[in-house]
Amino acid sequence: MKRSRGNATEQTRSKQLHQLDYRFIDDLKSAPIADRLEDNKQYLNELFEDCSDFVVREFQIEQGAKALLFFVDGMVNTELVNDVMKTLMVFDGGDRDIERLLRQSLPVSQIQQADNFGDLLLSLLGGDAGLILDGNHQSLLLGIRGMEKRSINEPENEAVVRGPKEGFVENMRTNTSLVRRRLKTPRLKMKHLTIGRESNTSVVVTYLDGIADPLVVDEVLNRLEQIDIDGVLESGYIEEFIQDSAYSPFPQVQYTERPDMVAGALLQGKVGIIIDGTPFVLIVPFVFMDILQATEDYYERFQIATLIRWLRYLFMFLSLLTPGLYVAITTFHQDLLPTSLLLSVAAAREAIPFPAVVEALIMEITFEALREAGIRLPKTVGSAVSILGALVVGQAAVQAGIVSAPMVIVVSITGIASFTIPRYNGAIAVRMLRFPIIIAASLFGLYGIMISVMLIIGHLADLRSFGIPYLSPLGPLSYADLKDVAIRAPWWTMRSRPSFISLKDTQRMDTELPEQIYKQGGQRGMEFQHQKEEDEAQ
Amino acid sequence: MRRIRQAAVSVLSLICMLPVLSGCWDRTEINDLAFILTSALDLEPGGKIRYTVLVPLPGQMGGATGGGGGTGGDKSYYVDSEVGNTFPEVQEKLQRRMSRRMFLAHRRTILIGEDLARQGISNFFDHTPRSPESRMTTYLIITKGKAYELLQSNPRFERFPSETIRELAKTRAVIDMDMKDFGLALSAPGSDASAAYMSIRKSQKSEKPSEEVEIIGYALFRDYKMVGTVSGISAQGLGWLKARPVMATAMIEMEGGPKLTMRIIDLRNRIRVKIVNGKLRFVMNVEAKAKLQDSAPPVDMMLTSNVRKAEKALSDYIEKAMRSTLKDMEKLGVDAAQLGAYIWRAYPKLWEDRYLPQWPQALGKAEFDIRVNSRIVETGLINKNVLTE
Repeated sequence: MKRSRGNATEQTRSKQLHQLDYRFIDDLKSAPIADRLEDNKQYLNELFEDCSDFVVREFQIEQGAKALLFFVDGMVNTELVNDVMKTLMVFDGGDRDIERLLRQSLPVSQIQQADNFGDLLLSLLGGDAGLILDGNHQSLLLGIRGMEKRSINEPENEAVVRGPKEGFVENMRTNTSLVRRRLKTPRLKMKHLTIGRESNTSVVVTYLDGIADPLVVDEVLNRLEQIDIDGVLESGYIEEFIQDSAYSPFPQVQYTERPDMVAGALLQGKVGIIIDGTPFVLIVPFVFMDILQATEDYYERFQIATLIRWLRYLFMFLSLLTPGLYVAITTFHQDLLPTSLLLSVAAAREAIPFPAVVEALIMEITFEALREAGIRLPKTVGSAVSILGALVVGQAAVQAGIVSAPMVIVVSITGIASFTIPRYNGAIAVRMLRFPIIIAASLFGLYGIMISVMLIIGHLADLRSFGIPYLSPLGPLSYADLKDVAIRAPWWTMRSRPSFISLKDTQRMDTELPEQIYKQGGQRGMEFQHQKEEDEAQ
Repeated sequence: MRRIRQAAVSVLSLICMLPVLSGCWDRTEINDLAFILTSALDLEPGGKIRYTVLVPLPGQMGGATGGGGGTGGDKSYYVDSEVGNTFPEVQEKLQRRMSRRMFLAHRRTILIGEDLARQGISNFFDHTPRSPESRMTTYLIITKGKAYELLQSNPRFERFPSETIRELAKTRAVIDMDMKDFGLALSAPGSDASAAYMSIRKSQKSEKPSEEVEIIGYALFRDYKMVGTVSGISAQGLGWLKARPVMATAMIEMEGGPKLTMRIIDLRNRIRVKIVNGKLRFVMNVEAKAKLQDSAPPVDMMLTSNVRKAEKALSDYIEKAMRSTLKDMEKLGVDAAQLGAYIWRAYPKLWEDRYLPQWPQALGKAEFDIRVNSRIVETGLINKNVLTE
C-alpha cells in the first residue's frame, strides 16, 4: 500500500485537471472524474495532501485495466477491503468496463456510483471505499464501513424503572435502525440531508407518512435546508436555528436519547430529527405540557402515572415559586403565616445578618454552583463535592448563623422540585425564572409574584412550536386532549391521537375492543362467557 | 437585534427607576416586627385606659443558632403596659420604647378587664376595626379582675399565656365566639352579646405551683356594657339556647337513686317561635347525644329500661340547664341567647311594634316549650360494672 505523501511538485500542479481552489465539498460537484487513472490519482493526492489517514492503493485487475482503490483509514473494514481486492486481482479476468464489475464481480451489497469528485468525497469521507478504473469516468463507492462506535447503553439522563433500556449512540445509522426496529413499516420515512459546510453532518428527518401532517414535515425540511453553517457538532446547533422564538427561555424543541420516546412521538404525528455524531435526537413540535411528561408514564399503570403527573405539576410550581413565596411572605405578608410557624421562622432568623432576599439569593446561587460542579467534576471527586456541599450549605452555614434553617429547607425543596421535571431543558427554564421571581418578590411581595407569573403565562401563550400554540392543549383548550394532560388515561381510552398536533390520520386504534373493555371493566367478563358456553356444550 | 436593544432599554430604565422607589417600598424583615400576641385592656382610676401587650422574644426561643433556650429560665416573651386616654395614644406611647414595630395581625386574643367591660366597650369597637391589621377573628375574653393579671400568669403547657387563653377559648366545651360574633350580637336586632369569662387559678398540690388560666363561664352584655355572668349549669344552658353543639359534662341522678356522669357530645336545638293567643311561645326541639362515663352505684345498661331511665334523666337535666339560663337572663335583663332575633325573623312587623320597645323584659313573660330527646350512644367499653358478673 502506498500512502499519499503530498509529493505534488510545482510541475504537476500546473498539469492538474481541475482547479484545486475550492472552499466546500459542494463546489467539487462540478469536477468530473477523468477517464485517465493517472489524472484522477494525481488529483486525489493533491486533495488529500498532508492527510496521513488517506490511503490510495493502485493495482491491476486480472487481465483487465488498472484500478485505484482509496479510503480513509479507520473508517472502513479492512478485511472487507482485502476481500474486494482479492476478487478483482485473482478471480476477475474481465474487460475494462466498470459497469460489468458492478454487476458481476464485486461481492459488496451497498455500491453507489459517482461521476464527480463532490459526491465521491462525501461518500469517501463518510466511510465508503472508492474504486476507480482506468478508462471509466465513473467511480464506484463500496459501502464497507467499519468505524469504531460506542455500544448501545441505557441513557443515563433518562433512566426508567420500566421500559426499554436502549439509548441512542453517536452513529446515525445505528440510531435510525433503533427507530426502525420499533416502527417496522415502510411508512416510516427517513429523509436525508447534509448540513455543515465543513462537517458535512448527516441529518435524517424521520416521520410517519400518513400520520404526520405533510405541511409540518415540509416546514421542518425547509427550516433545516436553510441552515448554512461550518459545522454541526451537536443537536443544539440545529435546535437554535429551527426554533420559533429564539429569545424565549423555554425550549420549543425536545431532545431525547430514547428510541422509544422518538417512536412514541412519531406515532403522535411529530417529526424526529436524527443528527450524526450525537446521541440526542430532536423532536418537533414540542409543547409546554411535554416538559412534564415522561415516557414511563405510558409504561406504568395509569393510576400511578396520573398521580405522578399531578405531583410533577405541583412541584413545577414549587420549583418556580417556593423561594419567591418565602421572601414575599416573610418580608411583606407576615400575617399569612400561622402564628407558631411565624415565631419559629422569626426565632431562626434572629441571628441572621442578611435580609431574606439576600439570604435566598446566596443559597440559590450556591445550590446552582454545587449542581454545576457535581456535573462537571470527575466521578471520583464528585462524592467529595456533595459531602462538602451538604456540610457547607446545610449545617455549617446554619450553625455559623449566616443562613437560617427555614431557608435551607426552602432551597432543598426547590432543588428537589426542579429535578422532578422530566425534560431537563424545561427544568432549566424554570430554574432560571426563579431568580427574577425572587427579586420581584423582594420588591413587591405577592403582588410581584403574581405579576411575574402572569408575564410568564402571557409569554407561554405567545409561544409557538412549529405552528402549534405552546400551551396547547390547555390554551387553546381542547377537551379531548386533556385525557393525556390532566390525567394519564388508560391506553384503551386513548383512541385518537392528540388533536392539537395537526395530523393526517387521527385514529389510533380500532374502537371495538376498547368499548368492550369499557363496558365490562376489563376482559374478565368475556372469559366467563366463554366458559359457560363450554359447560353448556358438555 | 432590535429586540435585544428594546429589552436592554427597558431593563435599563427599570434599573434607573429603582432609586426613586427606594423610599416607598414596604418590605419589612420578620425581625423588625414585634408580634403582639395578646393585648389586655383595663380601667385605671380616673377613667384612663391601661393597655398591656404580650410580645414574644424570638431571640429567647432557641432558634437554630444553638444559643437560646437555656439561658437561666428566662421567659421567651415579655409584657409591657402603658396608661392613656385613647387606644392609639397608648399604643404610640408603647411604641416609643420598642425597637420593633408593633404588629397586630397575629393578635389572637384580646382580654378586657371586668371593670372596663362594665363601664362599656364601645370605644374599643370603634378603634379596633379601623386598622386592617387587627383581625375580627380574634377571641374576645372578659377577665375576672384585672386583664393584665392573666398575662402575668405562667401556664405550664403553652409557651405563652396568650396561647393558653386561646386554646381554652376554642375548646368544644365553650361557645366559639370571636370578635365578629360579638359585634354581630351587639348590632343585630333582638340580641345581646356574650363573651367567655376567665380568671386565674393556682395549680393545686403541685411541686412548683403555677398560675393557670381557667374558664369560668360567660360574661353577659347589655348593649356595650357587661351586666353579669353565668357559670356552671347556666353556662351550659346558654350554649344550648344559642343552638350551638357545645360539649358538657352532666352529673345526673337516675330514677331510683344511681348517680350517673354523662358527657354530652352533640346537641342540636331547633327553635321556632309562635304566637299563641297573643302570647309569645318558643318551641325548642332538642336532640342530644351523650356518652355514659360513670355510674355509682353500677347500673346495668344492657337493660333497655335502664337506658330509657337514664335518657329521661339526661333530658330533664338539659331542660333544667336551659331554664336556669333563661332565669338568669331574665334576672339580668339581657337576651344573651339572641332569642329576640327569632321573633324579628318570623314576625318582623310584630317585633317592631310590640316587642322591640319592651325587649328583653318581655322575654320573662314568654312561654318556653322545651322538648328534649336524648340518646345515650355509648356506654364505653362495658355495659355494666366489670365486677358484677
